[in-house]
Amino acid sequence: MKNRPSRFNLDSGFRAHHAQLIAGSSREKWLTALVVGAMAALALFALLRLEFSFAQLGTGMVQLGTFMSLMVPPSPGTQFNSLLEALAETVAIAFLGTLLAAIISFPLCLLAARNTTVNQLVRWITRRSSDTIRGVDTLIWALIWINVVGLGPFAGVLAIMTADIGSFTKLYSEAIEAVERKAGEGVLSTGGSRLHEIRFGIIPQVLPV
Amino acid sequence: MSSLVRLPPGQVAVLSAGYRAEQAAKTRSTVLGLFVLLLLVLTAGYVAEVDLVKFWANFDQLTNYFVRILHLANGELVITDPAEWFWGWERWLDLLGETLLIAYLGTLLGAIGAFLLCFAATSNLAVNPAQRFFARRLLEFFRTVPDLVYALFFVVAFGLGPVPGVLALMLSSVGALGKLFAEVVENIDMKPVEGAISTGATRWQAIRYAVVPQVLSNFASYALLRFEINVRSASVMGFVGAGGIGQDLLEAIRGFHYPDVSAILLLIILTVVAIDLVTERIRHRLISLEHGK
Repeated sequence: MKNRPSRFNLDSGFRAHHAQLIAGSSREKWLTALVVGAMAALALFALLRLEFSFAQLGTGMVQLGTFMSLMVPPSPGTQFNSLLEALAETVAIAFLGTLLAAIISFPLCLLAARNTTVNQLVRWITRRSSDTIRGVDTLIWALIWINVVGLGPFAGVLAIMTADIGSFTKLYSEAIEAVERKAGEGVLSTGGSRLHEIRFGIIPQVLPV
Repeated sequence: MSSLVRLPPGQVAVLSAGYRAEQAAKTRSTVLGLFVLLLLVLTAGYVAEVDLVKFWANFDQLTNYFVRILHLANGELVITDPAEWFWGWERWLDLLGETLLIAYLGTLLGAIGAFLLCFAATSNLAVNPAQRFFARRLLEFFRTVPDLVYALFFVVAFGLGPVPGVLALMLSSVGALGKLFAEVVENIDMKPVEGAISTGATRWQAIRYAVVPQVLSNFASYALLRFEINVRSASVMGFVGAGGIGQDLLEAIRGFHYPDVSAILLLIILTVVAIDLVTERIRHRLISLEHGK
C-alpha cells in the first residue's frame, strides 16, 4: 500500500483547498452525536428500567435451547387432522376479515380523502375515528367482539375486520389523495356530477391499489 | 349533409361484432370472478362459523358494552368523576411508560439486527447466492411467526416481565425491517459503490461510505414506522405476561371492571395517536430530506 505512488497530489493544495468539505460541517457532526447519544441514553435507561440482566438472559438462553430441542422433530401425534382444520379456520378468518374490511372501508376512505370528501367536518370525524380504531390492537377488538358473538372464529373475523377498517381507511384515503387530478377534471368538464367524477375519474386510478 | 365520414356498412358490422364479443368476454370473466369469490366467501363463512342471526340478535351487546365501559359503578357517566374513573392513573402511566420503552428497545435492537442482516439479503450486495438465500430465509422465518407467539416462548424461557416482550418485538422487527431495508438497498445507485471498491475499499467500507449515505433516511423512516406498529403490539404483550399495560387491560376486561377498561383504552389510544403524529412529522421531514438531496 505504502509504496504505491499516488496519482494525485492530495497532500498539499488539494487537501487544504477542500478542507471544509473533507472535515464536514461541525453543526451536522454535533447534531448526529446528539441524536445518537440521546438514543443510546434512552436505550440504556430502558435496559435499566425494564430490569435486563445478563444472568437472566444467560439462563433464559439455556432454557430456550432445551425448549427448542424438545420441539425437534415435529410430531403432530393424533392431532394432525384437528391442526389442519384449525389452519383452514385461520385462513378463512383472515380472508373474510380482510374482505369485509375492504368493502366497509371503501365508502369511508372516500369521506376521509381531501379531494372526495363531503365537507371538512365529515373528513375530520372519519379520520379521527379511524385513528381511534387503529389505536386499539386487533386482540383487544377480539376480546370486545367475544362479548357480542361469543367464543369462536366469528369473533376473530369481526376483530380483524374492525382493526383493518382503521388501517385500510387511512391507506386508501392516502392513495386517493395522491391521484392525478386531470381525469376527474375531464369528467367534470363533460358535464359529469361530483359522483360521476369520483366513479369515472378517481376510482379507476385507485382500484389496483 | 353530414360531414361525418361513415364507414361502409360491412366494415361497421365487423367492428361492432368484435366490440360486442370483447364486451361479452369481459362480462363473462367478471361474472365468473364474482362467482368464484362468492363461493370462497361461503366456504370461508362456513369454516369460520359465521352466524349472522346471532350477530344481529346480539348486536346491541356491542353498543351496550361501550355504554357500560363509559359508566362508573354507581351508574353515573365516567366524565362526572374523573378522579374515580382514573383512580389508578399513577400505575397506568407507569405501565404505559414501560410499554413505550419495550417498543423503543424492541425497535432499536430490531433495526440494528436488520441493518446487519439486510446487506446479505440483497441481490446487489450479497457476497454470494448462498448467503443471500440463507439471509432471506432467516428474515422470512423471523417475519412469519407473530410477535405474540415469540413472546409466549420467551416468557417460558426468560420468565414473566418486559424482557421477553422486548426480545419478541426485536425478532419480528428484524424480520420486517430486514426485508424493507434490503429492498431499499436494492434500489440504490451502484456507481458510488463501484467507485469506493475501485479505490480499494473493503465490503464494509464500501457500505459505510457508498451505501449508508444513500439509504439512511429511508432506513430511519421505516424504523419509525415499525416503532408505531411496535407500540401497538407492546400494548398487548401483557396479555401473555410479557410486560407493559396489557396485563392490567386484560384483567380489567376479564374481571368486567368496565370503567377501568375505558380508562386504559383511552390512555392507549391517546398515546398511539400522539406517537403516530410525532413520527409522521419526523418521517415527512426525513422523506423531504431525501428528495432535497
